[in-house]
Amino acid sequence: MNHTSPEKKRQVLTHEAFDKLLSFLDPDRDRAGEKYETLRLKLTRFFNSRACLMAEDRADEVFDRLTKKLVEGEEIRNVSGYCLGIARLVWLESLRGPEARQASFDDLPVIPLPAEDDDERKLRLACFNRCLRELPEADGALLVEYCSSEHGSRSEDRQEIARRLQTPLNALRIRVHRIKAKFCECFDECLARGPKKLKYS
Amino acid sequence: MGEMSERESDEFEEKYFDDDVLFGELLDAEDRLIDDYRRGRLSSDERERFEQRFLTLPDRRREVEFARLLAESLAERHKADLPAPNAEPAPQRRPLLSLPLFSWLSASWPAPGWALALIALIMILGSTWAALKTSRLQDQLDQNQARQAQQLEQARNERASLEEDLARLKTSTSPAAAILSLTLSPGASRSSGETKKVTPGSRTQMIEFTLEAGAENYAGYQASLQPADDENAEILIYKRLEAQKTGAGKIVVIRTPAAMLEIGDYQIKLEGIRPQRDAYTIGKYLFQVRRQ
Repeated sequence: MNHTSPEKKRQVLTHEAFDKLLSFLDPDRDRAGEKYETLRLKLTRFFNSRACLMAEDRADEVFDRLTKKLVEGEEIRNVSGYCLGIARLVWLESLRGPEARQASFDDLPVIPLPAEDDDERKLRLACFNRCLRELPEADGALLVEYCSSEHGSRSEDRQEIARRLQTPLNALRIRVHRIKAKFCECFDECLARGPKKLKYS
Repeated sequence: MGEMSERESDEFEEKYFDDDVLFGELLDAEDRLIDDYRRGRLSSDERERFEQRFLTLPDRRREVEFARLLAESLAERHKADLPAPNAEPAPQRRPLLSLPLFSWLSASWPAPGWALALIALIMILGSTWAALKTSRLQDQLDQNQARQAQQLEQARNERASLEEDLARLKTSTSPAAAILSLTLSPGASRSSGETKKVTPGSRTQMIEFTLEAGAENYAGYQASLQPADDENAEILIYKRLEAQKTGAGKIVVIRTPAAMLEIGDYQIKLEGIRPQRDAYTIGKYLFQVRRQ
């Protein structure tokens, strides 16, 4: 998963354009960052639901176009709805490209997870444990608690965590998302040091 | 899982784009679905649809794998009776030396005082030995951690260097087609030199394989991509394929993201699904991947 942080996205948008985007989303920088990441999650989910292999790239494209409109002085009242509109346009345009020949989930191959006694699975579990330990203590504990709550009470558990940390639930989600991004970077590095294995596209 | 109509799907998207709370509930629901899949609670039809939607895209597949690995990690720890990762350490016990030793000696116990003194001495010696051993272990742990930090730093530097090399390669290689196509016939052997090669470039996104599937009719088709020397390993699975009629017989087309294929020898095993739902192997199609 390419959980990219707002800072890495500056490499796609110019610094000035990215600043403009964040300022537009919210005058408070922290809240703007949170809104940016929530919107990014929604966009990647939108593209994933359409069997798009490059959902993160498509989300970048939406932000590029949104920022361009902001720079041009366009007045946008409902940024979420506006982004959804751009996303649908980007998706339709992509149907003209190479992805047109793969436009549904049925066209994509299923990549099975490693079997139970597979050596690869053992390697991945070892990397998982190692990277969890390498996270700052509070982050690791939060990630485990957030992700391992029991099936039936998951939403309530997460609300309880948010209450305990005195943070809005959405801010908590974004925080966990960022921790997971760091974890995934470590995980990928760890696997890369291992023997020749499957690669993600 | 593809159960909503297009219109319902569009309406739902508009709602969750506008409503962060609804979006949060959607993410929670997806996590519950992943949990159900992991625990084997889905019907076979639901399982198949889940896999087609969650194990085909890298982002979603990673979420499923994360959930599975977390469950395994926690299960391992419960078995070994270890605390969860990053849990708070157990409260320290009061060191024996802080206990009122002399109060023991002066207490009116039924056992003789000298026996109590001996027990106390043994306990003091034991705790001193344990403290020394702990201190040595702590030193070893510190050294190991320092070594690991050094190795991690080295790995980071190596990765940065590799990324620079990769960036240089990307700019210097000549552009290649976004989709490479390859037509394969069954039955070619590696030793005969008949194996076809595909050489994806840095810009190749997809490799399209056209498999000659003979003239026989089947209710459906499925295929699996395998290493050429290991029929039991499955790298990718393609389900619910359809054949197309051509002048020369039937063909089945499958597509694979180029980044999924490393340099090596592969085979695609194509199976026809008969009306009785059993699979018949139509052929094995060898090919080699070489990089530009």
